[in-house]
Amino acid sequence: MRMIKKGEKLMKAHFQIFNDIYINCKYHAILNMLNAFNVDVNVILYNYITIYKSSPQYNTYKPEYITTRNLQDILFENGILEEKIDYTLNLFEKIKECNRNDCCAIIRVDMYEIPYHKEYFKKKHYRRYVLLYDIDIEKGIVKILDREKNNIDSEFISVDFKQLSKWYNSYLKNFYFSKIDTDCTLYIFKQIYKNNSQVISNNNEFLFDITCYKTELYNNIKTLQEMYTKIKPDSYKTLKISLSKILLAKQADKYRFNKIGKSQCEEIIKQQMNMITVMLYYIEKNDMDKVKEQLKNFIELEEKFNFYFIKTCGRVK
Amino acid sequence: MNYLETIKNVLENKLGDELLVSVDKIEKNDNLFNLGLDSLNVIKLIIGIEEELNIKFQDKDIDSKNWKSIENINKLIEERKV
Repeated sequence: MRMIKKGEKLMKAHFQIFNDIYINCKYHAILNMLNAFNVDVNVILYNYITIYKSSPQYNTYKPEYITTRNLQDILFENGILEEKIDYTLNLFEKIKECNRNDCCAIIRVDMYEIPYHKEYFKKKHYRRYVLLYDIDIEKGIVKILDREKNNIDSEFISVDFKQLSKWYNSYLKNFYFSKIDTDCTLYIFKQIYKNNSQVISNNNEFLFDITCYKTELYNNIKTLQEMYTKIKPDSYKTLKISLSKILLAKQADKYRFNKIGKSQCEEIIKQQMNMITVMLYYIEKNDMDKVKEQLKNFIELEEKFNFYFIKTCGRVK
Repeated sequence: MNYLETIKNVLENKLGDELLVSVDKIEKNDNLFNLGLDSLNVIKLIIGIEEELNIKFQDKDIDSKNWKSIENINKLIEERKV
C-alpha cells in the first residue's frame, strides 16, 4: 500500500473506458471511476449478487445488484474514500473542490435536459448517473463519461458547466425535491492510497462466501415463478421490460463467469440469454403460451445455475 | 439462392436508425453485434425477415450466432427455405 502525497495527481486525464458490460448507468459510472483511479474493477464485479425484485406499481420485475458488503467499505479497502452528498445548491463550488483535490464525482442528472439523449430530451424526465472525471475551470468545461442510447460504448463528452448544472438542477427539481427519489445526488471519490498488492486481479474468484447467500439465490426462483404465474394475455409490454432488464443482468453475469473461468455457469447463462431472446420474439408475435413455455425452461435453468454457482464458487470451510 | 439484398433491406428498414454505420457499408462478414445489433433489437430483424420472405424461424434459430453477420443470416434463410 502506498499513501498518496498531498497534491499528487493520480487520476488519469484519459483512461481506458470500461465498456465490456453495461449493467446500468450507476454501475457503469462506478466501474469507470475505478478505472480512472487505476483500481481493478473486479473489486466490484466479484462482490455482488443479482437478485430479482418485483416492482408492483409497474407490474414489472427487475434485477437489483446487492454488494455483499457495503459499497463504501469495499471502496475504502481499495484506497477510495466515498463522500455522499444529499444535494447541493452550488454544484460549481463542489466541482471546483473536486478539481483541487483530484477527485471524481458521480452526479445524478435528468435526461430531459440532455440533448444527446434524443429519446428523452424535452420529452420525458428520466434519472441518470454520469461520471465527472475532469474539469477545465478556465474554459468552464467539465468532462463526463456517458453513453447514448444507440451507442454501444460510453464516450468522453465535454460539457459546458452551465449545461451540467441545468441537468443536475432539473434532477433536483423533478426527482429529489419532489421526493420521487431521495437518494444522494452527488458522490465524490478520492483516492487516499494505492493498493499495489493486486490481490484482486490474481484471485479470479468471488470475494465472499456465496453459500451465505443461498436464501437470496433461491428467492430468485420464487420471484421468477411469481412472474410466470402473473403472465396474462395482455402483459406483453411489462414482460418485455422485465426480460430486457434481466437480459442485461445475464450479460453481466456471463462476463463475470467467463473471467473467473467457471464454464458450467457461463454455459447456463448463454442458454438463458438465448431463451430471453426467444421469449422476446414470441412477445412480438403475441404468443403468450410460447413465452410461458420458455420462461418455465428459463426457471429450470436458473435452478441449475444456482446449483453450479454455489457448488463451483462456494468456499469450502 | 442469395438473400443478401433482402437482409440489407430489412436491416435498413427496421434497424437503420439503430445501427452505427450505414447499411450499404456493412460487409457480409462484419459482426453486426459490433455495429449496433443487440439481443433486443435483433427481434425486429428476425420478424422483418420472416415477413419479407414469408418464412418462419424455429426457436433454435434465434441463437445470436445465427444473426452475427449477413453471411450467417443468409445461410440460415437458405436452410429454412428448403
